[in-house]
Amino acid sequence: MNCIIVDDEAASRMIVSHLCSQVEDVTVIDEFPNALQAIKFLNKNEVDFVFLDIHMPDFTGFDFLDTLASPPKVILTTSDRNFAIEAFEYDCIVDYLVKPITLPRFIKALQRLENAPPAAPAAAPAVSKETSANPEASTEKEMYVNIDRRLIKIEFDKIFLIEAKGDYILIKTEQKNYTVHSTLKKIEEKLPDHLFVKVHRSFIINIKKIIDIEDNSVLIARDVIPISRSNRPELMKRLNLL
Amino acid sequence: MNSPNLNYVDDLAGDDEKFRSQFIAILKKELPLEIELYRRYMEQEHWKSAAESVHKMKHKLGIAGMDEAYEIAILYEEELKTGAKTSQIAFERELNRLSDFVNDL
Repeated sequence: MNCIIVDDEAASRMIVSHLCSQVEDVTVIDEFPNALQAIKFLNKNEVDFVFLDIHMPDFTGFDFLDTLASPPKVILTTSDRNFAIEAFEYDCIVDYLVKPITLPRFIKALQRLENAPPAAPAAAPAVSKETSANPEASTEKEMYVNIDRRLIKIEFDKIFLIEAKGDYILIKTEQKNYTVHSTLKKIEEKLPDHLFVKVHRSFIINIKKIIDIEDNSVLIARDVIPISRSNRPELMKRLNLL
Repeated sequence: MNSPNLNYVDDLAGDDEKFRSQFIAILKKELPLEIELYRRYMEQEHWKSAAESVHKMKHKLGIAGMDEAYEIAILYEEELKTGAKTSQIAFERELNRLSDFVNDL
């Protein structure tokens, strides 16, 4: 069986890779320190299963699963015992390993993997929420953000995308990028609905800046942005499709 | 409190000395970066990000067999998510023990 390891912690990747080397018939074909790189890889390659860390900055393991149309089988690896319940909501997840992982528990997870049914086809996309009208925001052409005690004007039509980064948001524009101490939810309320759409828990994009859309990702300027299953219908609805 | 040890790493490595030394090298490289990031977030009062750092370091405490410190980290991580810091002193004391141990490896 071929697998990949997705974990932002080098020590964790090394442990899982070493444990894989202790068992027969498991080959690690690649390792990734973040989910976005793994998504790019899985768009072009097939694997039998994934060792997936849940708790990664900006883009969690569950975000990763929401983004893939047909996720392969997954063994979760995490230091958090509290995610177990949420894990069972995903058919592709066959087991859940709490770090630090031991060899006997690791082998048990692989046995569960072998006995698990094949990965299910992609689930039907969740029904999207109606976009709430935001007339106040839609009449504005710009907003001001507070950076180092200065109020900087950012014109909406110059924004490529906005990315959640922990306690901050990163606003990428045609001129430069701005890191602002705020949340995606707060800025979403300021953005005009006709220009912006949330494509993922961590990303809002400017629809006018889309270059192309491929399966579960969208190209904006030079950035490949994931589209989650639940946000895809809203995006498709907003496009002027032929 | 359990003393930090390499029992887990030794069990994992078995006779594989190369893995053992490479893994210790990763620990020595990764832990100081995680501690630095945690301290920066604390200085900036970015509690949610600090909680994420504690989450990462929790694994290292587990690797070093510091079971009680691991439980403190679980509690502290949850506190930080709400902006509380009741377990800060206890956690940082254990973190310093871990850091000293890893430095001496």
